[in-house]
Amino acid sequence: MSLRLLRQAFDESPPPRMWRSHPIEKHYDVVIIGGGAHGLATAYYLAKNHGITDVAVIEKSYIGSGGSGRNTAIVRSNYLTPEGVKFYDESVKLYEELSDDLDFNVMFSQRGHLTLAHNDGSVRTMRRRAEVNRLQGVNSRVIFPDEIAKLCPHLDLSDHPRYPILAALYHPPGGIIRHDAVVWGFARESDTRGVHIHQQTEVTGIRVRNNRVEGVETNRGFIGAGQVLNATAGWGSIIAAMAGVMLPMTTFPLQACVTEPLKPFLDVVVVSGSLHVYVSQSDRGELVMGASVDPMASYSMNGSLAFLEEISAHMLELFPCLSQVRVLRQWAGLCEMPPDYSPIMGLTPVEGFLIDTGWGTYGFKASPICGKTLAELIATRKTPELIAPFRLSRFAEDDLVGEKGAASVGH
Amino acid sequence: MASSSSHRVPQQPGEVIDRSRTIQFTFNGRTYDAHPGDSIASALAAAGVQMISRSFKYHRPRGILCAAGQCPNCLVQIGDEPNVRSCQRQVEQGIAVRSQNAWPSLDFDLLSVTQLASRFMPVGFYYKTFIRPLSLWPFYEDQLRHAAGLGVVDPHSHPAEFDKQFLHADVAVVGGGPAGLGAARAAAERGARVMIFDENPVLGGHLRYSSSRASVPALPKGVEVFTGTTVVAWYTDHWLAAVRGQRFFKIRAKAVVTATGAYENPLVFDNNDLPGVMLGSAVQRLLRLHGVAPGRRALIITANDHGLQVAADLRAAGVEIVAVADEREGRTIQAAEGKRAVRGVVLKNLKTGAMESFECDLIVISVGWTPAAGLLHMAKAKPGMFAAGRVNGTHDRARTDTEGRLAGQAAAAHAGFGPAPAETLSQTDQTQHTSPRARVPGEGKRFVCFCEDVTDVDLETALAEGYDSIELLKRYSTISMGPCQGKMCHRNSIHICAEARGCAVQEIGRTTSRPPISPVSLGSFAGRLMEPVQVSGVHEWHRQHGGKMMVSGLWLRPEHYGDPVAEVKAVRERVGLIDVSTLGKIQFTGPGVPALLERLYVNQWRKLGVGRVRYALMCNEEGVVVDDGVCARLAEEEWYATTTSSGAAAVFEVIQWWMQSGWGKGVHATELTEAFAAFNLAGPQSRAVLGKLTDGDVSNEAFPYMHFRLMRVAGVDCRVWRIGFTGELSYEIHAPSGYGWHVWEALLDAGKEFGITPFGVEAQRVLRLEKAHIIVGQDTEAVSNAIAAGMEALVKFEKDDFLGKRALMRVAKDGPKQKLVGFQVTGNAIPEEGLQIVAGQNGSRKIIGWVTSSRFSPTLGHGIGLCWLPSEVAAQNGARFSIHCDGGPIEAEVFHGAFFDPEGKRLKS
Amino acid sequence: MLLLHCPNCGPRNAGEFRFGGEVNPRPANPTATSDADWAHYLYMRPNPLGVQKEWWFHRAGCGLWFLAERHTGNNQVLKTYLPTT
Repeated sequence: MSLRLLRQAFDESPPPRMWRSHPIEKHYDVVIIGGGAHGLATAYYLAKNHGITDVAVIEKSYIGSGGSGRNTAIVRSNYLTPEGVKFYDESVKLYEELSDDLDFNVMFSQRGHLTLAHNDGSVRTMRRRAEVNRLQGVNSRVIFPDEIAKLCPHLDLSDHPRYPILAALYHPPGGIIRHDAVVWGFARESDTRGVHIHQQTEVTGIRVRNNRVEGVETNRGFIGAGQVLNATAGWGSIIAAMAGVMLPMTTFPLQACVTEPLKPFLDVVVVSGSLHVYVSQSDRGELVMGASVDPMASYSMNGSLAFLEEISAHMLELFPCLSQVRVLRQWAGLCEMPPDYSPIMGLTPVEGFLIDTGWGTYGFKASPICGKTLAELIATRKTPELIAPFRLSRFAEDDLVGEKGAASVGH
Repeated sequence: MASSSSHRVPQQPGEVIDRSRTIQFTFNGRTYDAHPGDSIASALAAAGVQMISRSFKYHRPRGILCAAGQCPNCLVQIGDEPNVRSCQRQVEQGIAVRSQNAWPSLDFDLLSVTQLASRFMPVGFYYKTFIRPLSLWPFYEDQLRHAAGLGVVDPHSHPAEFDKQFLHADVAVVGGGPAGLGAARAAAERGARVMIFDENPVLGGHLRYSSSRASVPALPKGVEVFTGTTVVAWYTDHWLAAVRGQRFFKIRAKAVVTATGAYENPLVFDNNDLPGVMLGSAVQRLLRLHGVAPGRRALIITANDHGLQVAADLRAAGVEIVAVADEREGRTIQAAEGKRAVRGVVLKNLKTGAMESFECDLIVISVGWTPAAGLLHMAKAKPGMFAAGRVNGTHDRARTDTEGRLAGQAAAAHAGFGPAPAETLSQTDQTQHTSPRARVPGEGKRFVCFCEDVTDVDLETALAEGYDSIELLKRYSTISMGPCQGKMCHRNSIHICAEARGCAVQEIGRTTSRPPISPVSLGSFAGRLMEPVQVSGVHEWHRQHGGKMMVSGLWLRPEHYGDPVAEVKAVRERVGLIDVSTLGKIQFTGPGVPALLERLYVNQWRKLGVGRVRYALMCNEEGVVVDDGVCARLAEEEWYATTTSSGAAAVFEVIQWWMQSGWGKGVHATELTEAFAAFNLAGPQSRAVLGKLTDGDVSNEAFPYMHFRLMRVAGVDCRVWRIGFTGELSYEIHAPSGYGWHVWEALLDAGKEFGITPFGVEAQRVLRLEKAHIIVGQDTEAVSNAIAAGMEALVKFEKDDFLGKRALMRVAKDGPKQKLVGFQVTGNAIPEEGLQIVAGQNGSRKIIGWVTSSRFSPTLGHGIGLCWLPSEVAAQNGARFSIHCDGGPIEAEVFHGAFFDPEGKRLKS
Repeated sequence: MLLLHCPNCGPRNAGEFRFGGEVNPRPANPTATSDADWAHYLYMRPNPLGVQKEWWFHRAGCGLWFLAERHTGNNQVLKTYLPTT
């Protein structure tokens, strides 16, 4: 039992604030646009690993209001490319220690992740992913219906479904997490170390002179900055455009929904690329479900009926016993999709203006490693090797990453 | 033993129960009586049962609160159906109802001890604990998971079918109370097609049980009435979703009138969640609709005349009114008392602070209303959305009627029926019926959120910790995230938040209203599970003859007929027949075709003669291979092309885009995928077989390799190609689909004497691989350009412009980093497709490529395949490399060209 | 569900169509385009929060490719029209 809880139980005085509200300074060494998990993780690692605390995180609404608060909280590293696997594996390792680091339970539940294969092409891809994973030291393997049945007895593994399950990529270290807690934990630890978090503060422009960033215009005035980081996944193109930088992304809504709480029965995260659906059961008992990005590019974060219809049909193909389980709520977040389904991180042609974008449907799971590497880049002005494959210049260099096979409804 | 219905009152006008019949059901194993028309909750209330469930976190006793399906307190499990709102579900003879989330029983729930630890479980407690040691977190988590959740999923549950229906309305009216009825009438009178939806079994809304005693106004003929139907969401352009039992409606309306009424507000005070605390409207529903008085000694807490009316109703039904505490007179409730149900109450004098105790078994709360404005929030002031009645804050009957009429007229006008009404209503103060007070401070537990057991202290603590926007507050405290989705708590939480922060209620804002307004089952959203499947016209033949079907995109195709190795041998030695009807087929007609083809494909087409065939490769603007097939020139201006089976629809769309956006001059393209069956007759004896079925000249001189002929085969006019991916002499016969089966059987019949065998996708794969043919989408992927894939010979850079040219120019200049190349294994192991090729040892070990296709070749007697390797390795014929495999590395060597008959003598014979 | 006006068929449910992406004009002379400019054409996108010109294909209908102007913030479609070729 945490000492803190005990103290709070008997203490009549108000509990300590998680993060404070400071007046805005005229200038910060580092201005991070976007108060989500990435932006706050970067602020945290800047302070913790590099002693850089003259940092402001500018958030237009409340912290975690963007993708960080809307994702379906899946963490995994079973990607397709060696560079992708390495990157996400680092993130998983950081997540494993995060509750301890932040002294805040982010409830990382490594209960296992299954990606189902319904045709021979998928089985081939699962084999490929398993091999790439294992060669990088990541625990993944291809399993077949007999073993799948033990992990997930409620799945229909018979011949009846339209697309019977042939095999699955089983990734034991994958799982789910309390996504809001990650945001709050990073926020508190950044705040404690002196980072200023400014909520309800919207960046309306970026001042660039002689191809060098000078600061950001906001609804609360101009803030000078030594370096500016664009960590606004979903709105990355809009912010980048303020600095005159065009990015290779298109923003699509990604929808999700949640059911009423049920007694626990689903122990693993289940993904089906062919059926465009994935599901996990939260610690509160709700089923959290998602699918592929919407077909139409948009910045609207509303759910649609077509999504609920399709996801329900696909869920019942996988789990026929769930037809009476009720959906409670649907929502959407924004995913900016680059052509090679890999993030775009680091330097831009504008000096001092850095980006953390292109996070598509795979951003939340990368929060810690993203924060750590970008903090290193900001502090040392050198791009860490781990994220070199994700540089913006790769498009002009015709050196795209090949992740399309793992991100298709991979969450 | 049936319990006596001790709380029934004499017959009520408008009641929905049939007192002449009695049925039985069980609750937690005990039998109870009910009348047809009773809800499970009303039947239990009639029997004096007050506790129906236990709450989510603290396992506190809960009973009927709203009787309207809005709160979580009466959720039960019926058979394999979890989380049923017992106040909305009718009793049926023999149903077995159980409470949820209580163990070992509802009455003695061991987990209610969590209440004792509540001091250590403040809001968000789980974020502050179970952190160390890390190794114990999975154990703690399991405990948390088992304590959470309400209903239980039965793995063998297979209930009845669900279906869907489309509806089209000029005006959709949501809500069948007085406002909705008025709107429906007004819109119908203008000639609009009106549909009215109400979740109750009959129209009337609150008129059915409130005390205005007015009769329910009738509707004009022609208005389509959907009762028992809940509209659960509004989507773009007035697309509504509604549920009635197992039917799901998708409604396109031109205009919508929202007359959905209001939720009655709970009050937050000590022990406000005790069974026996009920909203005034809940009491009226039980009384009027079901003839049940849910108590014998009632105490009324009110802030409006509605509460007084409820008191009068109860009195008329023989219930003793212990006291009426009217906030307008300075009295309210301080605490409810009792352990498992209300036994008494403490009232507070707001002026003097004096407390007064009373005994009672029913506490009625009537302190105000919150509009049920979910649909309005979702529609966000979209033109065509109108509102009337309590959802507007209007409780006065006369005004309600006027609002209904005006809304109906305005909606009809929006849908194109008549002018917009000129009359407007002045803004009046609508709040006299709702107390701004959300809570009464006290010493005990005061619940704001019944679903998640969130108290007002929890909210204040969260605010103090810094979760001070309404959204952060929601996410941290989980308030409004339970089954009621904020109906019972959102309004109160906003008021408490404002009070705690010392600001106006408007400053707090609200969280986003999200569909569905009421929970809807997955089965309802899914409807009938109808996944399209594409099959060839000869599909049944395959199934009847031992074809093992495999999933191939949307298609089902035969993988083999029992022995794929024998099938390979048959093709090499004699003759085989494969159904390739799934191939995409496109006919191009017109003078502009060559120019179009030259732009779409990397090959040259202009000079292709009539009757000639060329392999066709299509790239995208990145130079990435997207599709391949063959294309024949049937006549000067008639061309016929095939695409991959899986790519057909997409390729046709892309071709249409290029044509319609500028390249289509002088071309007409038609997709003929389903119009033609297609069979590939392959093997040394194929000419002999075909010769038996046609009068056409099939000699090598008359019909050479890579040529095309129109011929009559088995009496059917067919399109015949002499192409061969299997490496054998072969003919691809395209017959009009309707004759496919006939031609297929004729070929097999004619081939009998030569030992013909049908062969499937697996054998075809092996045969093609023996010729080192690539499979687009398997050997190539989203980043594979044509040069890297080894197709540079096909790319005609001298052409002016074609898809992929510019990108491929760059690749040609810089050279691709990796290349697709053939390999053969040096030992006996056959590497699985997907295995990685590695170089270096231990720390410097690197992945340098991977195996895309791999098979044992029965023809050659060893393993062969295709793989990606660094260009410099791929360039060396015979270069050795190592494929990483669990059982030990598999050694292989680069092999250029076709593995079998590299000069193509057999297929050109 | 969005109602989209096909220039040929009139207002139909958006589910009948396929979204074809932002209008991205092709360089007039690809062969003469630099590597950098070609990469820009292939990958860079304005991706605006605002009115966007885009392509739509009437997949489950007449098979027409047409243009639309839609606000990407609230999805309001301002107009649909045929490309001029």
